[in-house]
Parts: sequence; structure tokens; C-alpha cells
Amino acid sequence: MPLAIYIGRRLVFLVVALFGVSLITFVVTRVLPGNPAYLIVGVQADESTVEAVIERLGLDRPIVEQYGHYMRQLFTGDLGDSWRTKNPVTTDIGVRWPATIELASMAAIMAVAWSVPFGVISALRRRSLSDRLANVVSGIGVSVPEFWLGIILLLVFAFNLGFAPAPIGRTLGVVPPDVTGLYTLDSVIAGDWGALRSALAQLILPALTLAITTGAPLLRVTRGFMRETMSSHHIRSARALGIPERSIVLRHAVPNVLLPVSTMAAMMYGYLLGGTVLVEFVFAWPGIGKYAIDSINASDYAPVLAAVLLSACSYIIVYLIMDILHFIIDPRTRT
Amino acid sequence: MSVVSPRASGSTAPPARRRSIAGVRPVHLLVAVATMVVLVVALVWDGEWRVLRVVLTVLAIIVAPAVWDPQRRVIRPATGVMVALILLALIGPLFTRDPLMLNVGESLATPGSDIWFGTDQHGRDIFARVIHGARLDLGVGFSAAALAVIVGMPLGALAVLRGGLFDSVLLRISESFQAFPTLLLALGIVAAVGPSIPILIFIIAIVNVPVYLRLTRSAVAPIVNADFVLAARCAGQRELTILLRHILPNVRQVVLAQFSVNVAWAIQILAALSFVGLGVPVPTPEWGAMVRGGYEQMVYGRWWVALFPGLAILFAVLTLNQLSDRVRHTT
Repeated sequence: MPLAIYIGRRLVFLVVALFGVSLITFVVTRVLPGNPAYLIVGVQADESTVEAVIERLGLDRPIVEQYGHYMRQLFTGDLGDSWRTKNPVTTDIGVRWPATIELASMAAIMAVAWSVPFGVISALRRRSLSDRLANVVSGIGVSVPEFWLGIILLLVFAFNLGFAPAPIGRTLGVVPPDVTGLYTLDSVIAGDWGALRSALAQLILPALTLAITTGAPLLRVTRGFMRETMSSHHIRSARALGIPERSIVLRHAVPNVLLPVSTMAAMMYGYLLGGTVLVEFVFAWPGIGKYAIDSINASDYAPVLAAVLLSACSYIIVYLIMDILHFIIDPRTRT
Repeated sequence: MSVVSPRASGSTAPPARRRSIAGVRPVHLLVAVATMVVLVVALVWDGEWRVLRVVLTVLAIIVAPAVWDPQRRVIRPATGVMVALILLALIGPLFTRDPLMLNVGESLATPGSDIWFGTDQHGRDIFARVIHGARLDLGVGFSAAALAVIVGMPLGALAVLRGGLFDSVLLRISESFQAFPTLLLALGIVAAVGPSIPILIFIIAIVNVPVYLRLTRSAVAPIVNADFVLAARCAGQRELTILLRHILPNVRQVVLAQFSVNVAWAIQILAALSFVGLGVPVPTPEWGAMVRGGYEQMVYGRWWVALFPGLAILFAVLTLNQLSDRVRHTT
């Protein structure tokens, strides 16, 4: 199948999935019990204010008509206004999205950096020290609640040892000139190493927290696939041919493992884009997750919906990109 | 996983294991009686969270006999710890101090020999609150996962049996559901509906239904046209009977492994929701909410307020994950 057709088909799936996502968001807010008007004006509002909001939102009209209206708004990029910040939600999100992307990307890089090599090494010999260690680490990493881990890391590294600064936003130093919105990348572009240090210092602990919890399942998957590959026929043949162990592992086994592992890593990254909520909250990281929670606590509903919608969409898109990359890299998917 | 339908005519069912008196092993009987006695006491004694305690009680009675491995004649460690945890959640609260009692004079006491885990900012005994929290967290976790199984499993099986449009619509919906980050979706729903324990159980169940739907679907698909199903159909059994007696029992093991993981997830979601202030109402002892209380104390170096409830979450979730690994490996 040619690449163009493949991408076309995937894009159709994408549209279907995005449609599903929007439908779920709609159902969650409109069909479940609870009146969205109260979420907007607060419970203490008098009758006439509530009536006005109901009329403005069109909540008194038939559900199908409401859905049409909602879809029209989505298509025009109108996600409503936040009454807490007094801005359109899209503006607020534009400011905060880079912070989440920066955190998620850093966490993903760190997670892959520790878990994939560890997974490969621990798979080489069963019941070896590294295998046992991998068991313990992945078991705890999968089970530990990330908000608690974040607190413990803060307690140890920021408050007791003083290695890291207190969690007060994205940087203590100057904010680098805005190019990408990612402070670390922007300070590299501006060549401002002081700003980079300051931004990294703030980023390291929240990224580490996420890297531990998301790296653990990646470690398990890598080890599983690596074990399977190492006991496959082509590795046995390579051994029979007298190829050195080092070369067997690096040239014959690892490339086969990287394919499924990269899918898993992409899923992890897609998950991270919407899954940084708790860590952002713990470290006062001004991203989408903190925005959502602050809005919920202020009964400001439009931003919450937007955050939910945004992270679901980014998950789907990351997954799509990964699929297309696979199609290009791996000849077996082209049949 | 071997595919068997012991009740189908002509199937290759393994011969029934030899049992002792009247099909009941003495070990089972002993365990069951002991559990019953303990649990009846727990149910009658004390008044709060009756429904959750009933769920935990039923669960303990189901799980307890599985603690003993009859073939290898040993106690299964993960199952044993799990049962111990459930029992602790059920009867532990009867022996601790009052988890709600305020004692400003003793606020933020460090852990010591008489106050094992120290006290929080209101002088409440953290040990008592952790034990009481077990009942709530485990109870909500199990109830939510059970609800998700009850809805998701038949839907998944039905999707395969019906096929066609029904199947693809269900599949697309569940795919879209899985694109949502679980926690954000749960947050969004709680914010719309408002938190209370039944609603939390319901929401955690909703976000987990697609998992079971897909799992059951993929496990049922290869056996839906197996010989024993065809035989049952030829014998004129109704579709529902075939589903319940011949197909679903084959999926049991996979679902059981997933169930255990799912309870762990549910506990994590509940704790996370409470941590950000959208879970259980304030004075209720719940692990996530307690960690939140400790979060504010951490700046002053008071580590014990957040440490112990967090360890409790870690321990419970770790046990459930280990249990799931065991179940999966015995298939």
C-alpha cells in the first residue's frame, strides 16, 4: 500500500476518533445529571441569572440542536471563556500548553533514557542481579502514587538536601525571549546559559517524578520483548555462527526490540501530555493540568472541558504520527 | 490458556479433582468459618460504610480459600497478603482510636511508641486514619472495579456475538474513551456531577468499562466458533446460556488478572481525586486526602503526615499488582 493511501486512511480514522472524543465530552457535560448553568454562575445565583445563562447556552433547546451548536463552536475554535481569568479559554491554554509540553517531553526523554537500557540489560540473564533489581524497581514504579512520590522527592531534594529549588513555577531567573515557549529550548536559542540552568533546576524534579512512574511500565515491556527476541531463531543462528555476544545484542536483538518499544514510548508520551495533572499540581507547574484543577476548584467549567478535549486530541495525534512513522520504518506493516 | 467448556457435551473436560468429605476440603471449611465469624462481627459491630463493608466481606469470603495452594501445599504469598489487607480493613478500625477525634493539644506530634505514625495538624491519630482509610479505599476500589466488570464483560462478549455494526460502534466508542487521560476525564465528570462516594464509585467504573469491553472481546473472539460452542448451539441451548455457561468461563482468568490491576487503578484514581480536593468530603479518613494534608506540612519538614498514607497506597497497589501477575502466570 502506498504511503499516501495509508496516511489518508489513518486521517479518516483520526476524524472518526476526534468525533468520538467530542461526543463523549458533550455527553459528559449535558446528559449526566447536574446543570451546567449552575457550574457557570455558582450555586448562590438567583433564578433570573440562571435562566439567562440557560438561555445563552441554549440548554432549553432540544438535545440534538444543542449538539449542533456545540459542534459549530468547536469548529470555529471557540472553547468559551474562563470567568476566573476573564480570558477566552484558547488564550489561556496558548500560554500554558508549552509548559505542559516542556514537562512531558523532558519526562519522556528521561523515562526512555533509564528504562530502555535497563530493560535490555536485565533481559540478558534471568535471575541475575539486574533482573531482580528491575523487578523491584518496576514493581514499585508502577504502584507508587505519583503525587506522593513528587512530595517525597521535594522533601528530600529540595527541603532536606537543598539540591533543588522550591517549587515555584518554571524558572527563578529571567524568562528567555519567547520563540518556542519552552524555557529550556528558548534559553539555548538565546544562548543564555544562566537562564537554562535556572529553567532546568525547576524542571528536574517534576520530570524525574514522571520519569519514574512512566518509565516503569516501559522497563517491563522492553524486558519482555528483549527476552522473547533473545530466545528467537535468528539469535540462535547468530550464536551458532560465532558472532560475538556484544554484536548479537546490539546489532541483532536491540533493533528488533526498538520497534514495539517505540510504540509503547509514543503511547507513553501521548499519555503524558494529559497525565501531568497531579505532578503539575504538586510542583505548582503552570501548565494545562494545574489550569484544569484551579478552574475546577473555582467552579469554572469551560477550561476543564477544553483541557480534557485538548489532551485527548493530542494523544490521538501522537499515536497517529507514530503509526505513520512505523509504516515508513518497518516494511512488514506495508502489506 | 486452555479452552475448555466442561459442561458442553463431548468436550474434553479434565476429570474433577478428588475432594474430601462432601466436596469440601477441611482447610477451606476452616478458613471459611473463621472468615465468616470475623466478618459477621465486623459487620454488626460498627456503623459506617455498611455497603462497602458488605462488598469487602463478600470479597474476603471468595478470595480466602484461594490462599491455600492445594497442589504445592503452600500459602500463596500475594493472595495471603491481600486477604490480610482486606481483613485489616474490615476489623482493624475496631481496635484503633477514633480517626476523627480532634486534639489540638497534641497536633503534629512526631511518631513514637504510643502514637505510632504521629498526629496531623488537627491532632488526629494518623495510624487510626490510615487503618480506617483502608476500608474506604479498598471498598471503593473493589466496588468500582466490580461494577466495571459487570458492565464491560457482557458488553464485550455481546459485541463478538452480534458482530457487525453493533461491534464496530462499541469498539469506536471505547477507543475514543481510551484516548482520554483517565484522571482528567474523571476530574471533568466529578466537576460536573459533584463528589460523593457512590458517584466516585460510578465514575471510576465508567472510565474502566472500555478496558473490560476490549479485553473480553479479544478473549472471546477466538473461541466464539469453537467446537464446544457449536455443539451447545446444535443442542438447542439459548444464546444467553451459551454465553454465560460456555463462553465467559473461558475468559475468567484473563479478566481476573485484569480485575486485580483495575482495583489498584481505582484506588489510585480515588486517592488522586481526593488529593486535589475532589474526592471524599473533608474529615473522612482517606489516603489521598491525608497525603494532601501532609503536603502543606512538608515545607516545615513534617514528613510523617504525608509519608504513612502514601506508603499505604503504595503497599495496597503493589500487592494488587503482584496478585495480578500471579494470576496471569498460573494460566
